Amino acid sequence: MAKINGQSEVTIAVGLREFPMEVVRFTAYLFMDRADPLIALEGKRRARVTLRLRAAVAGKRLALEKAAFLKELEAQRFQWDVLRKNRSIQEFIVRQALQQPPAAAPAPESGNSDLELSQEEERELDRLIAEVEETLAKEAKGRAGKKKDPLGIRKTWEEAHGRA
Amino acid sequence: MIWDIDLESGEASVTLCRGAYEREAVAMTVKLWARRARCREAGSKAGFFRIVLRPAGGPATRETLQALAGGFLCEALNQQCRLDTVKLNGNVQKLILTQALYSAQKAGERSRAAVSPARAERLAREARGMMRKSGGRANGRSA
Amino acid sequence: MAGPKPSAAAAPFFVRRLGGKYLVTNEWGYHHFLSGRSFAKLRAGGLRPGSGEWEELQRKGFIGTHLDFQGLARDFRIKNNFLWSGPSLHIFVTTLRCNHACLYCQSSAVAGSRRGTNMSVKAARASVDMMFSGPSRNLTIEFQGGEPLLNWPVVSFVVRYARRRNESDSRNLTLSLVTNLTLMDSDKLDFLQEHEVSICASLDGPAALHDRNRPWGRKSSHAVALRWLREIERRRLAEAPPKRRIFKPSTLMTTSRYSLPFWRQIVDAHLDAGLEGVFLRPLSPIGYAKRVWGEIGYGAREYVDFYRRALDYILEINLRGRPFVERMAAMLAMKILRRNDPNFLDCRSPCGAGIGQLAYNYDGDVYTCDEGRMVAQQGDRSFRVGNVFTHTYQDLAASPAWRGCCLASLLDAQPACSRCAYKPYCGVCPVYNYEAQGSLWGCLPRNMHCQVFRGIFDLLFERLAVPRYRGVFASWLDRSRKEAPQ
Repeated sequence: MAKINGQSEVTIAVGLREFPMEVVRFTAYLFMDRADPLIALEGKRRARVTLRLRAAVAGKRLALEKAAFLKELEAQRFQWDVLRKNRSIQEFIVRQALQQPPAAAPAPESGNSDLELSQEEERELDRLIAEVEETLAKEAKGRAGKKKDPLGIRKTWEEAHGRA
Repeated sequence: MIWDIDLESGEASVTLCRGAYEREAVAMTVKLWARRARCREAGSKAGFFRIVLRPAGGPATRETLQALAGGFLCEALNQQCRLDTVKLNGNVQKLILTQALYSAQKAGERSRAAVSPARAERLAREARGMMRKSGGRANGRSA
Repeated sequence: MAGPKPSAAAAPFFVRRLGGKYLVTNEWGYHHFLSGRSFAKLRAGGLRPGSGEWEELQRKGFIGTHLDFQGLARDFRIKNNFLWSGPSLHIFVTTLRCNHACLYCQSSAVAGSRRGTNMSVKAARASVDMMFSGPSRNLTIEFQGGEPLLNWPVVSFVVRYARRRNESDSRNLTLSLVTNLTLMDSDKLDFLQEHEVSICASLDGPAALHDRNRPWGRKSSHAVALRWLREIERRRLAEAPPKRRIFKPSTLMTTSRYSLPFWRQIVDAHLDAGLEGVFLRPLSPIGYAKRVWGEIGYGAREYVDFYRRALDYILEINLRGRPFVERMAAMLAMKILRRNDPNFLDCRSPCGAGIGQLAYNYDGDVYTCDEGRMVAQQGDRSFRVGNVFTHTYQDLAASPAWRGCCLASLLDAQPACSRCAYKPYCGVCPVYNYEAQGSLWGCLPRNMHCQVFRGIFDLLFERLAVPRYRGVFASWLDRSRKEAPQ
């Protein structure tokens, strides 16, 4: 362990026979919320994890971080083991699940497979559009006139305060 | 030290062990960091990548260089862990993604182009006429 | 159903230490609390078959040697039924104009004079057509803005056109308007209620807080919002028996830095307004909010502390006999207690971007989600999937943004999430990751969105372990089932 330049750094040696490299990496990854990590190999059997803590810590706190890392390493080794050993089971169940869609969600059926609207639908749509046009035209006319707005409700905030 | 800082040249460098980081993870990190830093591989020895980082903009102080190097190390590990995760459960990922994308990509029964070209042109003419009549852009006002 | 031979006594599960106990969860949505001793036995395969705890764990899929493959496959299907449908939520941004200047405005509203940011009838129609081109049986149009009522003719057109189209399409179509209510009037409300459009208003808390977050010139937006919320509810109750679907008004609350000390007052304000719940939403540094985050933002711990106090207060209110729901907790409780999908697009895997929702901008551009659209308003169109005039639905679904968001939000692909105890219930937001951390993937250990949700899940599971609180959550779920629109 060393304290460098006012920032704290802790180095942990990990045996790769006890802990797979994936587990070492993932545990270091979890500590990224408070440290910048670097992993190096010492030969084929050991990894060295260096965590450079972003907050300045010293002495006992550094020891606590090291202990926390080793504890997390154990937990992640177990988790990795469970997931790895059960991979085929998980795949099997997901595959089974995906082979059958859920009962409640049939695709929408439509009796009319035409690609165009019918004439009646077109007329209906034209009527709707004409209504909207008429409304817009009336409102534009109203804006052009001098309609009173005593409470200033129609003014935007920017208009009221002189900003564009 | 997990990085080297050279204030004179305004650069930081990190050395990553090939046994701990795959080339693909490092390459993805370099690509992701293209906006933040100019990255180059320089002086790599056998078994290691050495990446030199220079800030893309702004002053190269000790603090910024340390932050750059630390961030790069975090991202490199992030990418490496992603690769590890794909190896662990890549098959399940493919199954679920395929299902999600396939279901969403199917068109409904009455699938069609959003608007047929002829109708789009007619609607565009109507819209232009509407705009001219109303003396400006479409607007909504309270009654 | 025969399956692969288990190679471990324990089935696949995730674990987290919570308050002295071990919380175990699994892919199929089950959870269980274990003492240290029981957990050690589970790990080692040492639980006694036939014992009460073994039976319960076996039923929930935690015993590797006794898995009900068919049952668990069914559970997975139910929990993830959204994997079989396409986008169901369609956000129509009918205008960017707004008469408010909210501090956090993530929608990047523009001044009322900018009429060029109104959706045209043509774009509205093409957007509706695009929506109906998708496969989902359930469709919801949600009007957003700016303030949608500033483009009322187009809002009313979309309502009528969509309903008319649906007469031959027969989807489950619902419509919703998100509004500040300051431009509401009787005619508009008549129309909205006649066409069964639900109304969701912004309400940030008591007047001083609401008006501080949401300035409206020198006027009180809070007073107007309350007035209309009461009027909407009065009309709903007055129509008896109801001749159509009538929706209770709902509200959305956004938490700014100024909101944090006022957790009690925010809940009280919703109670006083006669509302049946509150949706405590954290703010995200997306779009415009990213620029002003230093002023109005906060850290994960601050938000979780605020949420904890407010939720505990709400739980006590319920225990004193007044039903009142915290909506996010209710949605997460549905996932935890019922292993069902409440269509909470932020909390699922993959998230809703593209495959669950689309956002149609005023100019016809379509985005993976409303957050993606907000990013575009700041000049970055990375989340654009196409345009209603130039693309087909299949073009949208094939776009890189659509697929990229789907992949990046798949929790099985995220290192942290793939091993997290909350994976069955949680979600990531690629847009958040992109804005806050520079990539769709993000870096979860340093991700505030992850920290917030982890804090909320810790809190929820701690409360769920207490029987009287668990009863409150269950009552919320029973209520929501009974209270579908009349």
